[in-house]
Amino acid sequence: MSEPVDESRPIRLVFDTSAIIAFTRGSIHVGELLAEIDDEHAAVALPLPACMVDAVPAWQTSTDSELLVAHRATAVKTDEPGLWQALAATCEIVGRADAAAAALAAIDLNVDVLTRTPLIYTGLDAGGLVIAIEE
Amino acid sequence: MTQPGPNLREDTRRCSPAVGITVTPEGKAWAAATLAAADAERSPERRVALRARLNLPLADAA
Repeated sequence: MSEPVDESRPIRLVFDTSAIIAFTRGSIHVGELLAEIDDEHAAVALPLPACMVDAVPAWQTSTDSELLVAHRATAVKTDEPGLWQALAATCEIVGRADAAAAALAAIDLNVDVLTRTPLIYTGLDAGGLVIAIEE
Repeated sequence: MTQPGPNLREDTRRCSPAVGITVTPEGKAWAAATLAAADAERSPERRVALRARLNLPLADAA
């Protein structure tokens, strides 16, 4: 996982694809959470599949992505090769590889997933795994 | 001549306005409350069960 510049920052939340896209489209709630996490001297994990693969087509400009990825309170997280079976099991439940990566990262880090699509994750933990972005 | 972009590693508060987000004290309070509520709802027992269901090693638990 790429670490924030300040490596003492613990991961506080995982953004899934929908949260990343929401940020680049000006979601006030996503911005507020990121600001609060920054003030807590913590960081947000951005799963690599969600961040780099699935969200890119929705980014309006490359600057949007740079703003989030370069943020001092974010860290791009890659999948752990040794956890491929857990990732596959998670994908079987949530039905999407990007959501599986976000969910598995959150479970592994003992934090929650920020998402605009909470129903995707209900098969994992009856919704207890996510913070849903309000409209 | 283009303006240099904000150095987000140095000044993260310039990030959100750059994508049209203005963070207010009320918004920060909402975010803090939301994170606290999520923390309170998170159950260690449920997470252990979830890890077991996914065959995720317990040794990696935070």
